[in-house]
Amino acid sequence: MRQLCCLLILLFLGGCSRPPNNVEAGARDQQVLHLGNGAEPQSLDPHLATSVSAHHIMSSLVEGLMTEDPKTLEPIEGVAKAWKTSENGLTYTFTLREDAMWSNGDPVKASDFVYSYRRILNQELGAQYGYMVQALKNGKLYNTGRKCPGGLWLFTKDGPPKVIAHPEEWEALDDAERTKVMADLKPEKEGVIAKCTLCENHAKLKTLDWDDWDRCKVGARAIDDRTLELTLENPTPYFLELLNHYTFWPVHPPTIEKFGARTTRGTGWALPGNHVGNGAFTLEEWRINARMVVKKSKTYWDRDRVKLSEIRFYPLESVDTEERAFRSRFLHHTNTVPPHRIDWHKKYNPELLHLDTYLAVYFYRFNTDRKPLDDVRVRRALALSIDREALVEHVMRAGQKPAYNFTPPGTGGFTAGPQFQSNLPEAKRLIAEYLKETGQSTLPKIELRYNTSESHKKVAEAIQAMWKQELGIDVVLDNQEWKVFLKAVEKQDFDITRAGWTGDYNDPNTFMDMWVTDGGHNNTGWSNARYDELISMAAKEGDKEKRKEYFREAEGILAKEMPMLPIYFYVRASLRDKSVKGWYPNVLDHHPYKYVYLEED
Amino acid sequence: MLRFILTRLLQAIPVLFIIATITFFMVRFAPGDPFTDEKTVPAEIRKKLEEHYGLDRPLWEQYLLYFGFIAKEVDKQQIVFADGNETAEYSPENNKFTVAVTRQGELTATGESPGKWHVRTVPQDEKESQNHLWEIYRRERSGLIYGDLGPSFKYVDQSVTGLISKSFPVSMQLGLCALAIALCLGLPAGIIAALKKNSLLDYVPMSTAMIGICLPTFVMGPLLIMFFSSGLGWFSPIGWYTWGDMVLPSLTLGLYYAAYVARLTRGGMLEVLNQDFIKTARAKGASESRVILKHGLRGGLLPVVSFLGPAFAGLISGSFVIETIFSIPGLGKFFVTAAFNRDYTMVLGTVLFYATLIIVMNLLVDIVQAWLNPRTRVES
Repeated sequence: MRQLCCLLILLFLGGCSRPPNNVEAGARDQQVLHLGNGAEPQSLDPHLATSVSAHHIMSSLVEGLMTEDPKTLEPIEGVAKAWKTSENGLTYTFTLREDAMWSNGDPVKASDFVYSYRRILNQELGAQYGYMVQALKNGKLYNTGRKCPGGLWLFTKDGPPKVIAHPEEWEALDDAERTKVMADLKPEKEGVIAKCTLCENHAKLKTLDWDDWDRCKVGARAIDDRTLELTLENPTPYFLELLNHYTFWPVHPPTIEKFGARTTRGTGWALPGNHVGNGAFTLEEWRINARMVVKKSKTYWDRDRVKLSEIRFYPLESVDTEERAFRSRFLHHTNTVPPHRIDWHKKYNPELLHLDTYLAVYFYRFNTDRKPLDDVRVRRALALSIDREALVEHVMRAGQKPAYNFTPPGTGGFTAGPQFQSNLPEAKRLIAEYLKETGQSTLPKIELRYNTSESHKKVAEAIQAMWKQELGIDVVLDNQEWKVFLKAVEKQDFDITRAGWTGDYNDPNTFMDMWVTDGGHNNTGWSNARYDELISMAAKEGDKEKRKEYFREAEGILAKEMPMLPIYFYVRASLRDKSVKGWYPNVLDHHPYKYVYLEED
Repeated sequence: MLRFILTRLLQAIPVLFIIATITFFMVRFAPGDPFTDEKTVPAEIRKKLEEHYGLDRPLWEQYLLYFGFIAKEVDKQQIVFADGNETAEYSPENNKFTVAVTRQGELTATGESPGKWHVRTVPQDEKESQNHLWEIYRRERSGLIYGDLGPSFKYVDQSVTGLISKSFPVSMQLGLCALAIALCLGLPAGIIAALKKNSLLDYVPMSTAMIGICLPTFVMGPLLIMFFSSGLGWFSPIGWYTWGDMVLPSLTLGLYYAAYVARLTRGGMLEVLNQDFIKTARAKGASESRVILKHGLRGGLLPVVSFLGPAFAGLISGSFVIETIFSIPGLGKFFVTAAFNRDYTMVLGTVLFYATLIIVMNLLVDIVQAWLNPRTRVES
């Protein structure tokens, strides 16, 4: 019986001749690209997706007004073939190409973009990244129902509050005019109407619904089918690049409405068979936790340039599984490389291993509301006493760059340069000074919290040892499961906590606006008026050089006050077969697939 | 017999109910929620998300809603009257139908309206508002007792039922293949070892089995991939598309269970073969194969059967480790990822599904055992 079983298995195994593997077949004539793609995306609806892995897939299915140069990330024409910017940098007029088509053959119209912005900004949809589109004039007003400061709102008897005067209109009025506006409204309502009513009462506000769009005067207007005018809240020098973020990508209105209401989540319109996109590829198959298949589009305007016939994305959360698949020549490209395998690949596969700089920074947050971290001397001492070079070289070992400021070098052409240096004697002096002043002999125990992960643990242990050895500070390590950890950070319930930040777009603002007072991701309790001022000045400044000055000064403040401790700038490690051509390293890890092709070496 | 099965199935209902209740509250008490993310969701959007999924309700109400003891309110909409108009119209879902409300709160529905509409006043904070604000909504009965496990929080376009029904067949295929391998290798090995006790035919398979039990699947799987996939190139290292893809994962999982089955079979057979009725059978002149396969195996298999019941439920509901190593779109992954994602409905769905499987399998085991063992048959 047993022998029989073995025999059967052997016969079966013998029967399979060795088929060409994916990598060989791809380069020969199939032009099918196989990619490891990290986590399974939660949705392919550009308005609901929130992950990098979803972006990878959507970028093959949808095209925004702008696309980017695969090497330099310079914005280049996408659906828009030409654009004009007004003198003050606030109004962009786009001319859409005639041959831009949806995958069902409909032309891509300017109104489709307006519809898309209206959809993602509408609160009912619950788009987690909708705030990106707040760059449009009054986008925030429509998205959140509030805009501080100011504005005049009317609370009516039988309806949601209405905008009477927009904030800037209201501010432009003098006192007499304001009184007149108020008098025109029924006097008995005066109690409810006031300047900044919105701020005081915004909890009572009903959600602005779909129809409030025009009343809110959001800065997106379709002048005709081929002309789109976008007006911005502030001159945003990186606006063209922002247009290539998926929150600005269009959706096909008839498809959205075919499967449900405009702002209903999870109608299934973005599933295979239903999905309509305007990108270089169309959605063919999606098996959860198995693969996502996209095929070359027949309607894409630039289809002659597209050489790949198909891309298959594999959701491979286990980095070891992914690496094995690559080594079996099942994948052309891996999303990442197991950290413990980097040395091996450096030695045996140097031509396949790619370590590219990436727009992300690894840092520790300090809780500036807790003793002893409320004292800037302690924070500075902790920051000055870390040997980042040793950490990067011996612990991380993948070519990460030690960080002496917050914004990764080269972000949107801005390099702040080192804002401080490791300085042990100075660190010791600061600690001694603090101890003397507070009359303590040693610092109390400090807790360092990180989310459970082997590499975070290694970094934390190394830093713990450095602080113990150099400053004599006892640090307790504590690891927490991801969501528990995030909740603790959100509630600012920690002494020191591990953090990382990846830029959403290629501009320093995506890093720097994090530390403004009460910013959504500040979570340190730190606040600095000059810093806030600099960030808001940079947001309103159209001149690139002046903005860099503001950001550089802000970096200086961060280094002086040290609400967080920068450790290193990430690198993106990946394995890529040599047959993959037209794939260039860049800081956002964007790889427009229309330029990619396979060719035997 | 039928009565026995029915009683057991009825007993299962309160068990499942209790499991659902405990799971419901346990998963809610874990810190964090489905929308806790590194990039914080703006407060207004979070509010909308919570409203959409009903997370803004008190926990007890969510609990009742999940079970379907109270009806859900859907298509809720506040009615806005244009100045001077006496009625206001509302057309949800792409104007398929229209609901009109008068200022007095009378309601008229036209078109193809799904279900009955209700109207009520909304309490307002502003003292100045003497008039009422009307809100319309529709009641919809859904929930666990109607067989609806709800939408997945993580995968926007998927329902829990959909995810389970898509991934369970994969796990089932894998489980059945592994089980077949386990039985084909384990049973003969165990029987032969028992017959040739303390010989080479006993020692070699049994020590191999011991190694098999000790060697975890996460070592076995990568080894098989290295050899057959990276090395020989016979099979895909990952995936679940062709028949060939099933070989390595089934083997990895099957060998592990084969080792258990072999040891249990050997133990069971040894115990039975020493008993009097076997001697009687031999004395009566029954052929050796009849003694072993008819009389011996029946009793010898009892420990294997009681092991296989829950093991089978475990096998066909997926294995996180195997599915991760081979990237198989099975159910096992959801048991783990759903909890990490705080995908409340998915956690409940997978737990309830697994519990049901265990209950059914245990029932099957009891039936098979009754059939195999005359003693329990008489008692029941």
